[in-house]
Amino acid sequence: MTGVAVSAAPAPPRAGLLAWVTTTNHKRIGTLYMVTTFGFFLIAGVLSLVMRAQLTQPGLHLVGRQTFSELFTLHGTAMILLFVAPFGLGLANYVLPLQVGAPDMAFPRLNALSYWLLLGGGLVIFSGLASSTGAAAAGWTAYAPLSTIGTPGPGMDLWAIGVLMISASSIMTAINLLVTTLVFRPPGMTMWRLPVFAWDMVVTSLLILMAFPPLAAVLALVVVDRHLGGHAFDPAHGGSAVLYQHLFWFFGHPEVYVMILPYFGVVTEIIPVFSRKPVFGYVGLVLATLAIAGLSMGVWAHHMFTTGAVVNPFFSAMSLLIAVPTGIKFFNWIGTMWRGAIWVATPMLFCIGFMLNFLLGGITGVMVASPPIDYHVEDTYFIVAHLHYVLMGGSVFAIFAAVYFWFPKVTGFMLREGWGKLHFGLMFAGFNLTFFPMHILGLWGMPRRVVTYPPLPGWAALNLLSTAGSALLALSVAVFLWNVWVSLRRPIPAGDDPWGGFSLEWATTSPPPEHNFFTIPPVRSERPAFDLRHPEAARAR
Amino acid sequence: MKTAARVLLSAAAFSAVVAAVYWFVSYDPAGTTLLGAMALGLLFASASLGVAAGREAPVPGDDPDLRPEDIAGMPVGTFPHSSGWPIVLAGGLVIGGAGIIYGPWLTLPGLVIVVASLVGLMQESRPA
Repeated sequence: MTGVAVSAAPAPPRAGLLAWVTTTNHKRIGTLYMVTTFGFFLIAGVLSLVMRAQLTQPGLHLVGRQTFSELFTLHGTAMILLFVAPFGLGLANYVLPLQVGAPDMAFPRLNALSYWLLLGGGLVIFSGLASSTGAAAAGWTAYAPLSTIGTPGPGMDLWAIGVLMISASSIMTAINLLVTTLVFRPPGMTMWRLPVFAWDMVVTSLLILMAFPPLAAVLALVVVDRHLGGHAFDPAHGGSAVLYQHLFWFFGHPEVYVMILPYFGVVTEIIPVFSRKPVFGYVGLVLATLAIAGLSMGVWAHHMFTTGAVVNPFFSAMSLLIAVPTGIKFFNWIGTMWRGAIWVATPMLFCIGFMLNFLLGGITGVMVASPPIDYHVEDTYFIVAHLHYVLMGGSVFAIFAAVYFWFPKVTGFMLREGWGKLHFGLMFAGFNLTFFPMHILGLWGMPRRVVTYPPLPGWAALNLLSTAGSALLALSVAVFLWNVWVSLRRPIPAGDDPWGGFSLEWATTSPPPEHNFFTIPPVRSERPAFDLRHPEAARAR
Repeated sequence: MKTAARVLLSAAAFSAVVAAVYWFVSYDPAGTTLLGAMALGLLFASASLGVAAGREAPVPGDDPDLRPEDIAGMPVGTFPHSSGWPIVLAGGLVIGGAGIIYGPWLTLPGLVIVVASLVGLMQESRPA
């Protein structure tokens, strides 16, 4: 590699479990992140299956009101704060230093602390289940005064402290990713030659640095209100409940982009490789990412249209504007595939699934950005459908695309294509069967966060369909786990670059050595690994 | 560095414009403060990078024509093999945090662990 990577600790690397517990290597930490967050995904998925079972028919009594409230609170918290967002950070932990030719993250010990705080925060949140009054039950938004005076007991406190730890972890990771990208790029890799995934992580890190401090502040105030006699959100004592919503959503909406921008990056990495073409409109894609991030900081109160306490036209206009840069991204992805030699391998299938699902989530996003429609569907299953099309149909499909794409780099082995395609088919069908009917239920007025519902015409049938879909989704995840098991038990060596990848991680071994590279190729474009394999094409440019 | 500084400066300018427009359409102090703080934060980050770019040698990645062999032998950085302190520090924060709920009998040991691990991290980070 370029220069010399000096080790501060002369002791040889430890082995076994201790090596993982004390590791400061970005690849191990990234792997820990991804495995841990996937574990939280499985737990949150089981919680959602219990909820779907309860809602299969009207009037069922599998779980009570309190338990149901705990279920949707933990499900939302885990999926958002313990899976979709931190999986992206974990993936970046592994991939980004490789893509920018760095030997490790800029601050390896801080990186390890970020991971352990994330795990600690998650365990603290779930430890509420063992408390005398149960886990937090105020929803993942934890609106005050429900979370301050309406939810007594340690479960809510544990939730607040756990989320505080997760926000500290995210802020530290964002700093690490930013410094790594800005400082450790190899010779020739200017910012305008960065892989798009790296650009997306830079922008995501900036969003985290702007959005998470208000979350930390609002949670600290919740703890003060609950334990130290504060009244920040209590109107009876001069506080403001709407202030909670302002602070929360100033975090909450950019958080949506913290959960989607990394996966825009993933899709933008995969589509060109499997279309055998350079990405169409590199600069446009980067500028679109910056525009999405900038606009996303000014749309927080579209979650507050129905409070009557915000300027709806301003937030509506800003929200509608986000569709423009997002549309540019779609245009560029389609432009990349246009007349490409498309290779329909599993990562590409998941990317196509991502585009189809996210498109629908985006369209319903434009709909609810309009206050008259939002007034009609607020707090109904239409919103549940919308957010799942964005975060599950979008982000989670991209997560699986990333897993299939980079699994060979991380392990040195291929995942089985046949099982992968079956996984995709089941997941695409199961996802749409689960969540599409929710649009109709929402338009018919079925409220979200309810333990049961009246036997109105059509409601039971659509809910039954939705529950059947969730079973199919669970089956698809089981197929994925089986695929991982089989692929690790009877490994098929992948070689260093099984896909013909474009960015620097494909120019090193699989898995990469301790400090990533023995030699770094010259960087003369945003496709250095491709240039290395095809010097004639690089010379012709 | 200069590219990053320019990007941050553009973001700061955009945030300032949004904050100003938002104030005049809403007169909402909460949202305007949040947007204004964002503009100031981005401006500070941009200025820091701009100053660093002016004072310090450019990072290798900023030169489009530099080759890896041109900087052969130049130290890249210091990267530890392992450290037990991060998990200890996180454990201390969990225990200390639980003390807010369950009482000072947990806060104190949590604080001791946090301080000990911070000292440990600082000692470990000293150049050999």
